[in-house]
Amino acid sequence: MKRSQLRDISMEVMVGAFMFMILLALGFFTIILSYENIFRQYHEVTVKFDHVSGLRQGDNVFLRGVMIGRVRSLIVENDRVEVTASLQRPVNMREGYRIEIIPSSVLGGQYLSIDEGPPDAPALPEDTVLYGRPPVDLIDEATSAVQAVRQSLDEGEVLHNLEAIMAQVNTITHQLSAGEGTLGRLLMEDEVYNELAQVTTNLRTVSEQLSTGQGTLGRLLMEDDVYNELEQLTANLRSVSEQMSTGQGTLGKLIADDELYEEAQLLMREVRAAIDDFRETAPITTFTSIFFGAF
Amino acid sequence: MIRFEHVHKRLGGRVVLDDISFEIEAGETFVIVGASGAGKSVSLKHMVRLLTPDAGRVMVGDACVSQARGERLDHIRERFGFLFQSAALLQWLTVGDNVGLPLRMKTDLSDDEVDRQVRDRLAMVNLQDAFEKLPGELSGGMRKRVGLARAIITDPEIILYDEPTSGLDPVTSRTIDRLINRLRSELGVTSVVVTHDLHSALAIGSRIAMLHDGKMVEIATPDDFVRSRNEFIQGFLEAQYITTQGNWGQTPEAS
Amino acid sequence: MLLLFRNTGTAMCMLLEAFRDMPFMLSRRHRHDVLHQQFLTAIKSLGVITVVALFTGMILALQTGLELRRFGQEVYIGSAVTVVMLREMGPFMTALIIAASVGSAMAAQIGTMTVSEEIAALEVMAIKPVRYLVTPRLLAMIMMMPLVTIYTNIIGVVGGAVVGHTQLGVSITAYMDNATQFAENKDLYVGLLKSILFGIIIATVACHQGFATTQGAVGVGQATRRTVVVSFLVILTVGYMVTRLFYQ
Repeated sequence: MKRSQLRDISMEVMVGAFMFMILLALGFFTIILSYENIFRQYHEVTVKFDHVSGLRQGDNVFLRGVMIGRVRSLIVENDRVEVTASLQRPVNMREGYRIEIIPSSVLGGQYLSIDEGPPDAPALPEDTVLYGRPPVDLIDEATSAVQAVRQSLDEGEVLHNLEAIMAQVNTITHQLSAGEGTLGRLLMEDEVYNELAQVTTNLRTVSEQLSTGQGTLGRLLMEDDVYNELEQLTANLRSVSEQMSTGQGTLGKLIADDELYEEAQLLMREVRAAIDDFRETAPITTFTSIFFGAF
Repeated sequence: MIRFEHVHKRLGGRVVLDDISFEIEAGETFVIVGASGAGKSVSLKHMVRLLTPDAGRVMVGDACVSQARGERLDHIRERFGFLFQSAALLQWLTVGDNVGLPLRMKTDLSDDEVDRQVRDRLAMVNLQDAFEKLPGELSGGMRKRVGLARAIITDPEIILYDEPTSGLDPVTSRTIDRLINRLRSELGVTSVVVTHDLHSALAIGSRIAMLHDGKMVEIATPDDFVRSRNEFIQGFLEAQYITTQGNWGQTPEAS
Repeated sequence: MLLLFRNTGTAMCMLLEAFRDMPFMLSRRHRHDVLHQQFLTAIKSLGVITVVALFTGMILALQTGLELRRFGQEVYIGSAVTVVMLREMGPFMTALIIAASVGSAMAAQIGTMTVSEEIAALEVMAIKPVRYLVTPRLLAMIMMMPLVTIYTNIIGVVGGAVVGHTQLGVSITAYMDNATQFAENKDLYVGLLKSILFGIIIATVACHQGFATTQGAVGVGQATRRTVVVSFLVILTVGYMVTRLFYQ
């Protein structure tokens, strides 16, 4: 009996000790996870925001970049959100304070940033109602940047230039489609060649105009990349038109039968329709296609 | 005491008991013999409702064990002690805990009282020293004796023995036989023994029943049994070199 | 199919009976059995659980860390490891280990008892096998599974911290800070709820398979194998359903 009793006791002790330890750990983790710390004193700060942009309970609070606490609660009021944060140290706000919600990474997550204001500014009384600034949203920021660019485009000459290009392209297509007739006429008549040459010239004019708009565009987009790419585009256009103007023999060889000619005409009609559409929505589409095309 | 009334039982698609009817008197030692698979153990298990008959019923005293449920079944079972073929001791409990298990689980006796009774029963089967041992440390014969001690710890009216001597050497077998006889004479219990060991059956039985292919072919006293004209019984006797000579009615240990 | 329903039915009946017999476990006689089962469930498994939990945490930290490093956000492994451990991996890994070790042992033990007539012996002694064998195991599982799961969680988080510190250059403080910032109490308690359910599943499947054992030693082997397979399947399914319930 002695042996088994001893075994029982050691078993009891082990099971008991295990349970005790684990329950202790459970309590510890529960406290940590609920952002409580019973051994430390906390200072509460209440800030009113118009919009909190997905700030969550438990998010960090930084004072001039130093983490000093966590967001304890978010209460939605009539037209505002009241954010309560518990801080590890008291913060005395001065005039010109800034309280902001800042995204902590591109992947998401926010933190509350507090700046008490300039050191020499007068301190605010304790019971002042603090107001936070509207949150900085990465997407919003990008949108506003784009809007600024667009605005300057509207004001500047770029759009006019582009419209001129459009008009000229339109003329080209008209001329092309006006050149009805068989493949033989297209190949034989000088008039057609002249028209083609005219197109080429016009295209070259377009490119040149684009490249003269270099200063404006560069200044507006403030990105060398964009400019470079536009220049690249221009160069390409130029080389295309040059090739077209010189490559008449090649064209003759390529266009061997009526079918191809008809297809070319069909294509022309489609291009014209597209360009008509394009012109209607020109101000927006032009810009966006250039802007995003550049990337 | 125990009465089988037209009991049928099929197991695994085979008829094991085919319209069995017999009665066991209080105080006797009823031995059921037969070849393996003849339905001996099955009939024993019907008595404590480890199996339920397909048809017919088994009565224990006035109670029908075949239809009892819950508490009533428990009450009927408490009148029995059952020695299993393999002794069926719980491997992780010591001999003492095994024997005392029914008392610990079913009664409010103090540990000391349980211990006292366990030692008493172990003494009856001559295993006083095994109290602290685990079943794995015991020989087959010792395990059976522990099983017997456990079967009698609750002072049952009826003890059922399933092959008490199988797998044991002849000397140990005779020891078990003597124990069975002693229990009957000392405690006055009714015993039902299932065995295929005819020496054992003839030594302990007050009546012997022969089961063959699910049918009861003979129920007789040992003397009549060895003289039976039944061909199965004759074959069984011859197989174990038992002649019809001699006086089998007496126990080898008449003391 | 019919067999599946029948098995589920008998297992459920057994579970109900085991729950009904819970009050008996308070008695002095049964307390010892419960304690013994708690010892087997928890303490005896701690070794293997420590190793598995540690490496689970380390693997989680390494894998997510390597991905997050591409965005320069390695510090997020703290929350990644902690949230995943608390919600899913902690209860799940614990359940798998306990099912494979304790559950299979239970099935083997009860299966052997069934085959060697010990269950029948208990019945003849008017001792209810379910109350004597299943209820202590069930109770021990219900009590110890959450505790072992907490242990797994802690070790896993520590493992993640070690990898974060040594391989990814995330300081322990930053790791813990990030971990506590994103993990919620809900994660912990849903995980614990799961572990309790898993405990019930393991005990039920193991005991049921044990009782259903036939055909000697081969049957015991089959019961053990089936216990592991069936508990894994049920654990996975129930785990998903609980997750679905709490995290829509």
